[in-house]
Amino acid sequence: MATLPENLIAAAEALLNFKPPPGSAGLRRAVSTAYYALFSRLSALCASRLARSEPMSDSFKAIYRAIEHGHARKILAAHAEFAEPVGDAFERLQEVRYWADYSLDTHPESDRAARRERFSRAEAAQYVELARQTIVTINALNSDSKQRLAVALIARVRR
Amino acid sequence: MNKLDQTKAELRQIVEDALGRDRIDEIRVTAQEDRSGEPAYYVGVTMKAMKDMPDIPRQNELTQRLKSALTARDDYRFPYLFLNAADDESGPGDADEFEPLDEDIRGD
Repeated sequence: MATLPENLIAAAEALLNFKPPPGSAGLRRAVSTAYYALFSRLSALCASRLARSEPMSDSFKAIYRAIEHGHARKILAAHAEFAEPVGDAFERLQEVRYWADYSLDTHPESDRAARRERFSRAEAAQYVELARQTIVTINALNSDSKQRLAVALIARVRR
Repeated sequence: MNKLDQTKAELRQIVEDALGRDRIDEIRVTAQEDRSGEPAYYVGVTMKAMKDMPDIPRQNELTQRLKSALTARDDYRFPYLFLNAADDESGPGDADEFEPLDEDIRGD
């Protein structure tokens, strides 16, 4: 059975291939969905590792919902083990997701938006593939690394 | 050349070295805030042809090289990479979806 992140990637790919193309809306939804596929994979990893209970339990759901988008970006970017490539990919995907969900600009890159250039299907496909490959990278981490990643994303370090 | 221009020139050089100067149509480097409000660089690269677009592992490697160069300058802004190709015909969708509707702008 496919997981939610896998199905989100499949949904993003379906949006890319939709006929006839639904304008930029389909491409925006594709890259946003790709970001959420990665975010969902990280959330599920944290919940599985830290709640250690059934997926529908209150404990699992509490941890699943505990990751914050901005906090996750900062933690991953600064992490010696996970900044590259997971943190870099997360940062790129989050940036384009903010554009896709909230911006009226025609393109996520400001110079091209200023020229009224449009985001293409091929560009959107890069971000879907970036999310897919980053999920594969996370899945391939060994057990100890997964545990460190889960703790890093959830724990708040106080000094 | 001021410090920012030197940094931009170095980022351009790294892109050219990584992707091949003769395969690149245009490089755009802009220092600006990202959509989270953090200082960042946008590094846009237009390849001449889709066939020369770097795959995801090469994009990851290029991002790492750009970050390393910035870190060596004590510059911790993230370099967001945007890649496209001059011969991209995959299509953006066919309408400007933010054109105002007549009923929204009519004064009556």
